[in-house]
Amino acid sequence: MDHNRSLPVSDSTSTARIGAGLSAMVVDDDPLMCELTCRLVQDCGFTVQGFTDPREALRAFGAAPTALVVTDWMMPAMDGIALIRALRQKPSGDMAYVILLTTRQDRDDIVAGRAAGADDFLGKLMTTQRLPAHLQSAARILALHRRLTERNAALVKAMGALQQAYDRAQADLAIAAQAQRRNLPPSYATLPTLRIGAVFIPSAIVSGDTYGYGPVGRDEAYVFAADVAGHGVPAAFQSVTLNRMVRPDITTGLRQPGFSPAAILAELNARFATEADSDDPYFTMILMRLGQEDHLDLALAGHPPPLLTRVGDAPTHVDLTGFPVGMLPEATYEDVSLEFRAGDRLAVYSDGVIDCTNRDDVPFGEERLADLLDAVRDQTVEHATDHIRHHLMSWAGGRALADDVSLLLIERTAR
Amino acid sequence: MNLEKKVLGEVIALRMDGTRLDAGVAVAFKESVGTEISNGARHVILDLGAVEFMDSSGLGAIVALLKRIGRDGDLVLAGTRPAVRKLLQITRIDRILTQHATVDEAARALGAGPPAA
Repeated sequence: MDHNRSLPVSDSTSTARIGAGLSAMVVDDDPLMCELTCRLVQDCGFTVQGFTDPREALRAFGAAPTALVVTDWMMPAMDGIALIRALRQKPSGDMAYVILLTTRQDRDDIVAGRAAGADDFLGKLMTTQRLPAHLQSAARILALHRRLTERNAALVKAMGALQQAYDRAQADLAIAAQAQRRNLPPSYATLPTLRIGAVFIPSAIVSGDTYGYGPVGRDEAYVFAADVAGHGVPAAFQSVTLNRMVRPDITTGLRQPGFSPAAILAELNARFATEADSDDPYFTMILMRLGQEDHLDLALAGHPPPLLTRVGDAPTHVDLTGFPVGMLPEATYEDVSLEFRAGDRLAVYSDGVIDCTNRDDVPFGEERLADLLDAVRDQTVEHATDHIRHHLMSWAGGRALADDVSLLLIERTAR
Repeated sequence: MNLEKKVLGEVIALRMDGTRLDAGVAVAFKESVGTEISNGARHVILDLGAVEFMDSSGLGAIVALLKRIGRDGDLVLAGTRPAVRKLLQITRIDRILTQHATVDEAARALGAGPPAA
């Protein structure tokens, strides 16, 4: 029985449009009651279908979206409670607003009706007077529901777009990280007077830490490590620039045997530190020159003091301080000469090594690093470097690092 | 990150409430203190008594603020803890930035008036 087309729509009341755009279903085994209720619902603007057989209603439900169900309780084929329960099981059955019409309105009945999934109750005798008011609240709740659903859908869509953008950014970062790694020298190298191993674990795929080394003439070598303030893309960008700059083809001082590391730091500082913009990124750095003599020359610019392991001695910190590069135009730097004989080792590391925390938030710390260097002192530079890398990674416990970790292990080779 | 502000006559003391002054909060920290300087603060005590960890971003923020207040004012630290002091020492920033044990001591050094209501 379809009343859609058979009943004229009245728009003479204030409730005439509340159900506009919403479809409704009326279920009552009494054809006359069914038709009356349909009319009331339709008068409120709903598009209505009436059913005298609840089983038919159940079949029709879900064929088209139904926002509102008004059903009688006592029906022979299937009572209202059973109908509601069955409706709620259907796809999108939880979305419909259900009003149960009943002559029985004691507490237990309402509890049973609620449990089955009824949203509202109306005494059957009061239908004519009160149904429009109840439909009004139904329409309000349905409109709210619809707005929330739409907003939710919009959010899900936006999330999808964000996820796509995020995935793209991650892919770009991975490419940038590859480029950055290619920019770094090999993890193990033999240079005049030294053997070197490098540990490099970036925090945010791309890293602010960088390092480089190479020969100076035939008999000497330079080594530098730097840590650009901050992490992630801006720091990585700056660190790539720096890495490209601290090479003998650009920083020509690095070509001169016997060069002064401090003079090169001062040159870099003049280039990077400008009074005009105090927000320029700065970096900590260590630069050293190793010649044929039994010492090395180094200049330190705010980088953590390196750990020196001399043959037969425990690792000790080289007690040095220095202004970072690119922070203060007036900064000056000094060269320090350290005795460094065959078999001696120097570990140069970024603050990310000692600040690296484990699961209990305990930082790795300087003492643990000194102990670790002591423990690997009899291993080759390659094995020692691998050991340190694994040790630091297991300390971090597979979590993303808060800061970049880089460490260079430099050993003086026998002449 | 929150800054608790205390006005001591001409001097203001800003207490950083977090235990970390790192890349996560450095920008917000710099902006908050920068707003005070923009609003005319010339004698600023940064109370780092709660800060257990500072990284290069935090240090950069403090030096940027120091430059910003320039020769016309003072920016000093109070209550710095060992890890922060160590970073300031390694980077020699302790040579250009005055540190005091307590806010009171810093306030006396800056010639602060009596606390405002």
